[in-house]
Amino acid sequence: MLLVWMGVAQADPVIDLLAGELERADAVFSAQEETPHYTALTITETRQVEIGARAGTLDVRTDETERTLDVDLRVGTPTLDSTHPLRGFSALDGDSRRANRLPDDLGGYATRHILARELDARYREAAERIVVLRANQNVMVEEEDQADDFEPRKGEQELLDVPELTLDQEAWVKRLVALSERADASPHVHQHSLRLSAVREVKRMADTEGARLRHGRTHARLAVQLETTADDGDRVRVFDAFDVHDPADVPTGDLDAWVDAQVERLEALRSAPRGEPYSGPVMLEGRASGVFFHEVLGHRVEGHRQKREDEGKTFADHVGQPILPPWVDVVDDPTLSELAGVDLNGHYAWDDEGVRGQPAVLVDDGVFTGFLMARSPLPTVPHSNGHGRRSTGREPVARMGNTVVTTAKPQPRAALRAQLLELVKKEGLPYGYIVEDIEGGFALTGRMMPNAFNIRAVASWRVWADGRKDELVRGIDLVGTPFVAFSNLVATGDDPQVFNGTCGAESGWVPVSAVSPSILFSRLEFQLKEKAQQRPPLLPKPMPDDGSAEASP
Amino acid sequence: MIALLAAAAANDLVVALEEELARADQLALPDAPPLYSLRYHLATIDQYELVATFGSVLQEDDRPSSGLGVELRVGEPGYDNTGFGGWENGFMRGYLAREPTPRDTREVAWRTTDRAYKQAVEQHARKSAQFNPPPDYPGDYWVPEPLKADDGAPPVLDTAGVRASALAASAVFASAGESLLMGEVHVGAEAGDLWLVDGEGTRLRRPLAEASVRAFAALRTEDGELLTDQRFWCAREASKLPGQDVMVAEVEAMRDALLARADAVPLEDEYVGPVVFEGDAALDLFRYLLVPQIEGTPGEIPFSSFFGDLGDAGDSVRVGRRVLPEGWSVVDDPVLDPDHPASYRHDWDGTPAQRVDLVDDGIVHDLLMSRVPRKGLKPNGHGRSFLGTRAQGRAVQLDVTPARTRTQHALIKKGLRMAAPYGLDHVIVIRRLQEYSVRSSAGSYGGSDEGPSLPPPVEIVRVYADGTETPVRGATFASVQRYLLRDIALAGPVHTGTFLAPVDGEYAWIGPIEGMATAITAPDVLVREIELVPGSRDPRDTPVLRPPAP
Repeated sequence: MLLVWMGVAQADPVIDLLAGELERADAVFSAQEETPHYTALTITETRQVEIGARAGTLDVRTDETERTLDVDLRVGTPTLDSTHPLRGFSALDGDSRRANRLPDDLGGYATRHILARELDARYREAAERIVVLRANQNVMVEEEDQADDFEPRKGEQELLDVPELTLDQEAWVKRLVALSERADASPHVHQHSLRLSAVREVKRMADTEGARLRHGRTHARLAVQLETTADDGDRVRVFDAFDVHDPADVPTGDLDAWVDAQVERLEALRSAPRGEPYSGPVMLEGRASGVFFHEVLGHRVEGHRQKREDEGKTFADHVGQPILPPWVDVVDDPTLSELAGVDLNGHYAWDDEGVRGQPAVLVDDGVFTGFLMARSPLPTVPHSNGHGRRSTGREPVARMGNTVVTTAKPQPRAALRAQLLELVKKEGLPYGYIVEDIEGGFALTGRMMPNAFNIRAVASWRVWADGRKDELVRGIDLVGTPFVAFSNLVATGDDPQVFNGTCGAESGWVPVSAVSPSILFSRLEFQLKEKAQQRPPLLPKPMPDDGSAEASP
Repeated sequence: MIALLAAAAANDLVVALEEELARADQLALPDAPPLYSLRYHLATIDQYELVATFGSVLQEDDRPSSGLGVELRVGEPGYDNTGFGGWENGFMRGYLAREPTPRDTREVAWRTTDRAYKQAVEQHARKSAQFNPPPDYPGDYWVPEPLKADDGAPPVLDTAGVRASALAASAVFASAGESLLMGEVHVGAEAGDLWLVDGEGTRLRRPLAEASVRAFAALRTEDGELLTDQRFWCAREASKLPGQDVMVAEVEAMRDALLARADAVPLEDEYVGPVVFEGDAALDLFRYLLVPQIEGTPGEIPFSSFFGDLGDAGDSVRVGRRVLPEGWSVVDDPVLDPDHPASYRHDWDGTPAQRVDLVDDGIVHDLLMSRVPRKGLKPNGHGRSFLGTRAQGRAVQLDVTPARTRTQHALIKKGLRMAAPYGLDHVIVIRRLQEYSVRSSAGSYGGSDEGPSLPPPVEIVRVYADGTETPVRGATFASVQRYLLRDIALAGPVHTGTFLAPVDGEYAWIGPIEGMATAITAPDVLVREIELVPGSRDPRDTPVLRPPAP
């Protein structure tokens, strides 16, 4: 193991430390009755700068660096190891893994002590689990999934440099304070925040297969969030953000107009009517379309979901079959750093299992072609395609990176809108919907619940068949099931847009992007969004210069 | 100069709160009981936290923290929205900006007061629907007289020295790293102003100043027992904590004692007989068994809810009950030692601090009270709390005085005499109990304080007639009730110590530097009979991979 590592031209003392502890642990564990077949150590060093302002003053200012340790240890064999899901009553015994904080001097004794403590804890837990698992396998019926638990690989080695964070923090403090004062000038903005977050994340990994990797990313987000309470009690929120890789690229020009536009959106949404349950033609604008594909397709094609006995396995048996119109392609490609000048949040060089990030073609000419794979093989897909991801403290599973939808039949937005109206008239409906903005969504993929999706719409527009002016509505979410929704996809736009966000699932929160043109559906469904029940504030918001008495809540 | 500037800035925030207090008169919902009391607690604090392990910094935070507590009461003092179980009760906390301004403070007060008012109205209705007060119901609130007072400026937070001491003390564990599960030093320090502002005209500024250090270590014995030990220091200012040399020496002694204890013989059979509590263990005996019997704020009336009954099922506190042997007395005086971090001139409610004679001749005569009424008792300046939580009568500087004290030697001698009828040739001496926060930090459940109980002893010796001592480990108390204190046979030398009491009274999962500083002075004691049984130990918990040598 060490010989392999010494062949690498560069060196990283922290990785040397990890390799040394792995070797020491291996010598001890291999003498035990139950032995690990694979162990990986990862240290994630995260420097995070947060500057936030509200009500014309500095609200948050931190610049902290945190180092955390992840230990991935598998007892047994790659065919059946301690990570294999338990079934029945035994499944109630969860694992206790967590993110372990490491000290600021990674080369010191404290790091080695914590490494040993966590290795020991993970080993003892895995050794106990494999015993239960073998009995569990005997007692339970044969599993649908007959694939191995783990794909052994030859460890890869690469040391990438991650640029330092450079940020004029003082300038941003002044800028955000001024912007927050601007946002706060509206009596209807009841709560708000202007925030700049900049992150530099460096991951160092060593495993028992010889992997020696250093990689990471920088990222910055400038975000505004405004909140008010509508007269009907609805908590109305507006959020907008710029995501960039290099903090120096955070836009600084005309931010006043940007904030003003968000305040305007909030005011408009506050006085907009709530929508109603609806079934009919719907057009999703680009960002909403991206999230639609993320929820409806992306989560359902994560490799590990095809293995678990409690998962719905929506597309498991559809490889080679059409699931979308033949002019639509979908690929998840973490190697893309930007698209059309927009930085992509889901970009990474290496995944969290030591596999190089690579494109995974999911849909080709409308035909479903494969899955997002981590190192948990499927019977028909034995190899990872570099999508094993996690936030620290979790076990990596297959996750999305940059999910990109492309079309061979791009149409201008006006053409999509015209088709929407045609469909509305054909159905004899008074109006259809265009979903302009969303705040995210979620998908249920298990068997115990309906295999539905929910796209959290923020701003939807009624487009009237009789030519009335479009009407903004709030309070409705898109819902549906995947096959029906896909079968109703009738047209695609020529306006790919990027949704940058963070996706939460069983392996934690990971940065992702979803890119898609606008899409027209002949039929989608809206359901009512939950609504807060508190009355708006009984007294008007206090305003500077004693203007509070005049403002209405 | 810095403190003066801070006070001036805080005054601007007080003015902002006054503006919102004035507007709160307009808060009214149809058919709702009237708002009769609104109080704001404003905290502008500098906080510092450090966790060091084996000579390295594991975590360090140094930041201002400002918050607003809202206490809103509707109805009338005899019957209002308080004292009833559940959440959303009219007491709330809001977070101020890092650099709080009058504008931000007003907005936070506006939002928080609005929510607190609506909560209070609903809570009052919930309480009315489920609880009819008996004729002798003492009411819910003693309305305070307006007060204008300035109890002084806080010290400037200076943590450079304690940082260095903590790092040096944590490095002590490295030499035994191979044997230890963990070895950490936690530092918490804060300094700032606490303002109390209300609609009746109260304007009270109180200083908040406290610096705490807890060093602790844990190891697993070969048979799987979790052994822990800790040392704790607390002062009003970091600069008044013991110096680095003292801390390092004490931590070295603790480390060595812990390592030696791993070689002690585990308790295999139960021990029934007399037990001597010495030093910190004696202080803990009174902390866990006496303190809950003299804190007089009535528990919340249970709210029968979806989550079950929320509130306190019973009231275990009684005036007139014997809690200690004849001749013993207990007083609590918040100004006993003005330099102690627990000390104050006015309590959380703004009531002037008072010395309270709690126990006389072993019998409870008075209780520690906040402004929550209890039949026959009045507020006595012992209300302690933090933002958004109703103040409860709590111990501050507690002094437990026995009828008579004897020497340590006398305690042991009598203990041996009392042990003989049990067929024992020795008496058990307990010198330290396990600290809940250390147990939870080491990964085991911290336990709770549902009724008086005692955490397991960690430093135990068998003492024989010839004076020899044999260390014992692996013992835990079989069953301990508050009546045990009546069973004290003899008192020995008196000690003073400080502990951190959880704000909500719940010790489970309390952090190493969480809680309210509380001083306690009490003697070593010989208790007539206690049952000790073997504690849990499982060889499977023993590490397979030992930490590396340093």
